[in-house]
Amino acid sequence: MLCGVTGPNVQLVMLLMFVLWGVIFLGIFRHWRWIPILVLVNLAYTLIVLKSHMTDPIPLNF
Amino acid sequence: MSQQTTPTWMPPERAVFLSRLLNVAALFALLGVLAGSLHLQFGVGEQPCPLCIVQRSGMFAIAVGPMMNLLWGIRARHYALSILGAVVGAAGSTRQILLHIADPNDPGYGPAVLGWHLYTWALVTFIIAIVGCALLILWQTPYEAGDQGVLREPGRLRPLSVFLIVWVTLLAIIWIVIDLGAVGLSVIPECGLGECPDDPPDISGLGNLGGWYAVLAGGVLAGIIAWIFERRWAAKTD
Repeated sequence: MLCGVTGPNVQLVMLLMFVLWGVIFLGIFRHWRWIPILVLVNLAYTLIVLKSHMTDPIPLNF
Repeated sequence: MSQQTTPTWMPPERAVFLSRLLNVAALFALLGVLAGSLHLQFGVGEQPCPLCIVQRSGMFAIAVGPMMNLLWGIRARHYALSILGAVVGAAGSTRQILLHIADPNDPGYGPAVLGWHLYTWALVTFIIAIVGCALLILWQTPYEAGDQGVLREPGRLRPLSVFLIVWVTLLAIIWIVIDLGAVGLSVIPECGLGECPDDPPDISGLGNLGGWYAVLAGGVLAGIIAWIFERRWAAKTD
C-alpha cells in the first residue's frame, strides 16, 4: 500500500527521477543554494518508487 | 585571541588537491558503472528492470557529492548527500538480491560478471561509497583550507596542473550529464509515462556501436565542451 493506493495503480513517472537529477546537476553548475534540498526530495521520490514496487502484487517482481 | 589550527601532517592546500583527485576518481568510477549499464542496455539489448533504474538513480545520487565538492568546494555535507544517495541505492540492490535468493531455483536477473549479478556489484559499489565518504568526512584537513571549488582558482597565469584538474573535472561532470540524458531518455520507450514493466522484454542490441562506442563518443563530446567552457571561464577570470 502506498498512500492508500496499491502499486499497479500508482502511475509513478520513472522519467521524473532523471529529470530531477538533470535539474540538480544544472543547479550544481549554477550554484543554486537550494540544490541539497532538491537532492533530498529526489531521494525521497526514489524511495517512493522503490516502495511502490515492493507492494506490487506480482510475485518476485524484479 | 589568535585562532588555533590543528597541527596536521599535510598542508590544507595539498589536502584539498588530494581530495579533488579522489573526487574526480570517484566520478570516473561512477562513469565506468554507468557506461557498463548503457552498454548492456543499448549494445547487448538487456532492458533495465525497475529496480535497476532505482539503482542507477542511486549512482547519480552518489555523483552529487563529488560534483559539489569540485565546483563548490570540499565540504563534509556534500559527502553526506552522497552517503544518503548510496543508502537509497543500496536499498534497491538489497531488495533485488533478497528477491532472487528467496527461490533457490531462481537463476537471477541478467548476466553475471565474475560470478556475481550486477545488482550484487551495485550493492558493493554503494557500500564502498558509504565507507569512502565516511572516511573522507573523518579527514578534517581539507575543510580548513576554505576551498571554493576548482573554478575559483586564480585565473592569471593559470598553471597547467590547475588547467588539467579543471578540464578533467568538467570532462567527468559533463560526461555524467550526457549519460544521465541517455539513461533518462531510454526510460520513455520502455515505460512510457507510467510504471515500468516488472520483467521487461529484451530488445535487439546495437552491438558496440550502441554500447561502448556511443559512451566513448559521449566522452569525446564532453571533453570538447569542457575545453571550451574552461577556456571561456579562464578568459573571464583573467
